[in-house]
Amino acid sequence: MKRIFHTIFVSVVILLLSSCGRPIPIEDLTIALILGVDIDEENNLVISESSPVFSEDAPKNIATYEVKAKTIRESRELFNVRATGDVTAAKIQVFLIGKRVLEQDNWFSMLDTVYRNPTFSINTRVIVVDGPVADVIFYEPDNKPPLPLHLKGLIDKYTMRTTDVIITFQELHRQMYEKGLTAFIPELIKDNDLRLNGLTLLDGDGKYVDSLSINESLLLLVLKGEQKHELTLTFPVTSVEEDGGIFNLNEISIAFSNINTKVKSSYKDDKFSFDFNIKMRGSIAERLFVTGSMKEDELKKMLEKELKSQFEDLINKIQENKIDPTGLGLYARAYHYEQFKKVEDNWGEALAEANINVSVEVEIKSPGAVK
Amino acid sequence: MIFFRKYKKMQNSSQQTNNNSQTQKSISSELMDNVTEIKSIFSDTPDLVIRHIVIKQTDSKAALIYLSGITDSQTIYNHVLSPLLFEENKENNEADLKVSLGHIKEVTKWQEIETAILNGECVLFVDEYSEAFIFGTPDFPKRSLEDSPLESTLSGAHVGFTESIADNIGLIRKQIRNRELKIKEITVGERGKSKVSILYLEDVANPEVLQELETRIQKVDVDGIINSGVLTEFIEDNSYSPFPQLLLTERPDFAASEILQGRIVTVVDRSPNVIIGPTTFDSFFRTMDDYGSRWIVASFVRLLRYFGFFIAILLPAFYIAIISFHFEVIPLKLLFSIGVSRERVPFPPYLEAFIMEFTLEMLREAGIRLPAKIGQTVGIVGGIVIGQAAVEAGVVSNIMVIVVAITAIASFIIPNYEMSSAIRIVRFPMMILATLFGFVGIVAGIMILIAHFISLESLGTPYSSPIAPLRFKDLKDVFIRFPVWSVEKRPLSTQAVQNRRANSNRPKGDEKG
Repeated sequence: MKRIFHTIFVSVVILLLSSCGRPIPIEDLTIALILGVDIDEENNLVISESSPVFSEDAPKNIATYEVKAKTIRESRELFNVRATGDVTAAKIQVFLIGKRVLEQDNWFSMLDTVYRNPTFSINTRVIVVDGPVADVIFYEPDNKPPLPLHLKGLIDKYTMRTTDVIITFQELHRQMYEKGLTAFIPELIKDNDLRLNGLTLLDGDGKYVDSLSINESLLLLVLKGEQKHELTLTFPVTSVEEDGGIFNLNEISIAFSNINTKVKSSYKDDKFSFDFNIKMRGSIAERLFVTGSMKEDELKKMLEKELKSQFEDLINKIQENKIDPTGLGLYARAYHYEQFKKVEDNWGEALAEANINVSVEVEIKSPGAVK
Repeated sequence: MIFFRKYKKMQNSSQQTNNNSQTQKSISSELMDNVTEIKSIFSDTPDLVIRHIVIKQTDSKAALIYLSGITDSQTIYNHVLSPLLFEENKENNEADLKVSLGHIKEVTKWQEIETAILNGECVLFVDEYSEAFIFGTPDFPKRSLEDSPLESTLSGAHVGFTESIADNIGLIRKQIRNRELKIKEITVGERGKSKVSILYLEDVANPEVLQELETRIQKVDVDGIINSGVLTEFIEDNSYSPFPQLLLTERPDFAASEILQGRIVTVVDRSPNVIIGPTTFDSFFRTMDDYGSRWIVASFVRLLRYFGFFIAILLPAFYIAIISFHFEVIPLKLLFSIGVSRERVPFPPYLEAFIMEFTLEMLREAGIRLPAKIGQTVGIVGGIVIGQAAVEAGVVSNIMVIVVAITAIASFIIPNYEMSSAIRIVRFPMMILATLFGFVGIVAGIMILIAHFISLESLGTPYSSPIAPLRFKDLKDVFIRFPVWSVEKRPLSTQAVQNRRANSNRPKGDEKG
């Protein structure tokens, strides 16, 4: 009898406990899938949100709202008075941030709620929009899946083909607070269509400094040693005469399947110096000129030279901007801690003065089946 | 009310005295007295046959008494009546009746005579003789040996136990022809006396476990045992658990293999199920087919069953938790389709799930109770109700239908009926926990379940062995069935006295044995 009483008592107490949240079925939620932050012409913060509409009767299956709010958290209340259900941030797939926002000081502190609030999804992809965010978030192409799916697919598939990087809230947080490198975020542009447009580079304080084109982004990833998948580069072979009219008959494309990047660091005469040793193995994917006009050795040397100059251009750009998206600071900290400690707050400037050398080794494994 | 109580008391006391007098009394040497006594004991018994004869051998009057429905009339005629009526006994020895029958007993007590008649034996009273002869001629109505309908196999023997204890023991003996196979007989029940036989290998089974089982059966005090399930409830360790702690099977080959592993089998008269103990949780996930098919296939199927166990218990709870608490875990594309299909449903997820799960359980129960011809109709109606109409009417969502269907399939995969019923029951508390607390509730439920498994015992041996207590060697025949020759030891959970059961020194293909 006593045991039964105990059991009943404990069960009642358990049932009265509040759980980790009240149950709301998904159809009663307004699940924000895209969150956009931008600054309009009058320097007001504009926050927009896009969420799916679960209804077979509604003609559009995505609802988008735009409000003017002082903070992201405040915007939630403004969305709530507009949306059908409870607005939740737990499933945000894509965070769009206007380039104008990145040009301001202290913009990162606006994201405080993202890291403080446990319901925010930390795996949200962060994308910079070159131009007004509203253009992107209200874009409703007829030939595409719903925008959240499209945007996420765009950036994830692109990553799989290794042309871009996924920067999530978590990764962004690391890049912003890591002293050994500076942040970069994929960039999206809306002209006739939505398309990815390389990387946006931020400086040590998180402010916008420069953008990299798609090609430069690829090279940056090679420098970082993060190019894990096949990478195809197309070069003009200058020594071959071009007489194909509008067809560039001197082009050659190489599919590099195995790229190995090694970095050696040293510290001499109050200067850091870094040596990139990049081994790239690949096969010819396409070649428009006749084979007899160039020997294999010649081709190899030409490619090495071309790649080296491209890498050097990229490094110059980085050094000029006094930033470090390649993460060389991590090497400096690991191997020359004392020296790095002195300059860690101005690492970009220290890197700008450093010697950075690149050596490229190209190996062509297969010429392909065509003569 | 008071009157009734008094009346009951009176009845009870009169019964008691009646019983007592019968046990005490011996039979008289007067034939007519005995016949009258028999008539008074078996009043209102039209199937009682009293045949007055004159034994040719001794020229004495006699009466042959039996119950016609449960005796073998052919045997009585050929081997009892004919010899007595027609054959002469030249040595004229009264004590030696010329009856061509093996089983003859001489008794004097009325109690014994009554039991004998009720057991289908026939009793011969001879005038001026103070002992009665009992001839073993029972022939209870019984069915022939058939395949077990509940536990059918592909490769096992196609024979199941029947309602006759002698046949059942015979079926086990057929598998284990060994003198170490011992049988202990106990009678249980006050009115419907049932014979209960305990079968075990004397040099293998643990004597303490055996003693425990025997004491428990002897302590059973009940009117009668109709089904071995009733006996199970009297002797099992924890009746409040939904999980069976003693295994009921209809298959003689399964019972025999369990005896060989050192377990003890209890055969109950009039029940086609035998009780196997001590069992462990994994016993309920085995079938004879596991040992009939190749070990890789058998292991795969076995893992599938454990997987099915978790699906059957957790899937509806998981659905509720996801839809109402943790939509974050749904992949984005699925979220769109679930959202659209949930949108028309007017009920909260837990109500939707409960409606569908109850419908499923009702359908299943209805399907069992109905004759096969009508049963098909139930299947069709259920299929339409669950499958299509409910979704089209917007009562439940598509995804719920999938959940219910998978749950049903998963619970059918459990080979033991008792265990699969237990799983059906456990599903509902899990759903309630998920409704209240989401994933946290499910995890708490699993923890309670694990704690319960660990605390359970079967005839005093741990139920969750070989997982807890962890016994690595026993794991050879739990989730993965290793080749039979490699399992050299009997499971430790049976506490067998003799452990070795096989030797792995089998010749390799290219060696000459």
